[in-house]
Amino acid sequence: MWLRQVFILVVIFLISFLTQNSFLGRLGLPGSTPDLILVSVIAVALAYGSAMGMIYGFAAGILVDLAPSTEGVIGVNALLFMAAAFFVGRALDPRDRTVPLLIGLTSGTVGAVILARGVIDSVLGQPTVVWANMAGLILSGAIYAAFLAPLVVVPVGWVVQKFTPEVAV
Amino acid sequence: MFQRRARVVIAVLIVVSLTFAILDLRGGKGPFATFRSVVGTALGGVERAGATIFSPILAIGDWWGTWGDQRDQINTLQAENQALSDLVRRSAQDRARADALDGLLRVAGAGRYRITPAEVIAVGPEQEFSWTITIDIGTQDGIERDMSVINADGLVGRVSAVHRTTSTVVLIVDPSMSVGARIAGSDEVGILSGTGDQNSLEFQMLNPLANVDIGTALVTFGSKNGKPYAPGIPIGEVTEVRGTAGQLTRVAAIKPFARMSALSIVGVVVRPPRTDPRDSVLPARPQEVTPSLSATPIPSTTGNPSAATRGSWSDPSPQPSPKAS
Repeated sequence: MWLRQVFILVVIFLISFLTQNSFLGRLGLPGSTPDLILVSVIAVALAYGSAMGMIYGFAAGILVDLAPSTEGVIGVNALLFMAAAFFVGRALDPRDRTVPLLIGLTSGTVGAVILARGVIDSVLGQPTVVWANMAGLILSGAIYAAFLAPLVVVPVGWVVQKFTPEVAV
Repeated sequence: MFQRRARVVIAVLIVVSLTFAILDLRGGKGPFATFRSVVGTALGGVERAGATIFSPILAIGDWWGTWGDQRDQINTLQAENQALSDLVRRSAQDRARADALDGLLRVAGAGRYRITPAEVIAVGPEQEFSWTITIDIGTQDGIERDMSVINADGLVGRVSAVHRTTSTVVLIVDPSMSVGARIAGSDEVGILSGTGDQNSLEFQMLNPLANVDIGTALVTFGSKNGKPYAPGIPIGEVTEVRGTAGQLTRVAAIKPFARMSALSIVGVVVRPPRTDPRDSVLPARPQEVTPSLSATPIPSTTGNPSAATRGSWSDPSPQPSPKAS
């Protein structure tokens, strides 16, 4: 059971990471890049609950920070993903989850994470944050997340229910 | 809110994250250089695999993006191709016309004929047993009945009817035609008649004792005031002599220089030369070598090949008048 859960999470991370960096990032969409990994963290948090979502968010964040083509401070994404997982896992009662609600929750969380990342990077003295673009980045990121949410949250929930029903929320 | 174990784990993770961030912010290579390169290598491989997987999909996106451009480009190229092939076709045609006009100019210059060039626009129907063509000049270009019509090779026929902008020309191969002709190099004359065969004319010599060699050229004898035939125009060459010397009539078969089936640019002799050019219009042909039927091309220095506009051309070099000297 434990092994099966880890395997599912690894697969979810690999698919999200692969799709985001090799496909979504190269589409050249306006605004921010669709943050599929963050959406997958949200989906895991919704499927397994806050605690498991935070652990997954930590691992995913550390890996994203260490992966090529990211140059941020190591640990920032881990913290942000953990915060997102904590918030999402506790925000909704599992019984009143509907797709529009999930979409709104996901896009709101993604927008908040983008804003928080900008704030943290500024506080840490990273010179790469351009506040003039921030509104556009948040808006586009939230919109892309709204599109990704039903495509990710629903299948992840289904897989988790199917293969590890005993730990699913 | 969490189980105790989960709470501990999460606290540890948060501490680890913060530690990482602080250590990383301290700068330098730090403890993460090796870590980063290991993870980077692994995830870089994953990214490369992803690139391979997603490249076709992204290529489809590119294809959709450039589809309109490519269609425009195809249209542009097709139009350009059309224009260029038109140009090639036209330039070949223009070259042929220029060559024909060039040859016409050479003949006109050698014989001091003043000619008006014309284009054949219609050929009379063969089933009427008459050989006629229609040319695109008429009274408004100064054409009159019974003017000689030539092309670069020789005599073509004479004008039989003139309209405002067109004229009808009877070809020399028409059976109703007869032309006074003279054998080049001698003064033997005779009557040349059409037979209806475009490769053979009949030449009746007035002097039955005359000696005619095969391959000898014929030129027009010339009529009064140059009508219907200006003097000295090449007609054709002897291909066969029937009857023996001394017979009442001797007949020679003549093959005309001008190809009656392939007429395009012709010239109407609007003013014959003041003096008979005799045999000077005939193209120089090597007599020692096997007689060939095609005229040896003479390098023309008189013609301007691009002068495709219509108009009357007099001979390019002014002819010294006999009275002036």
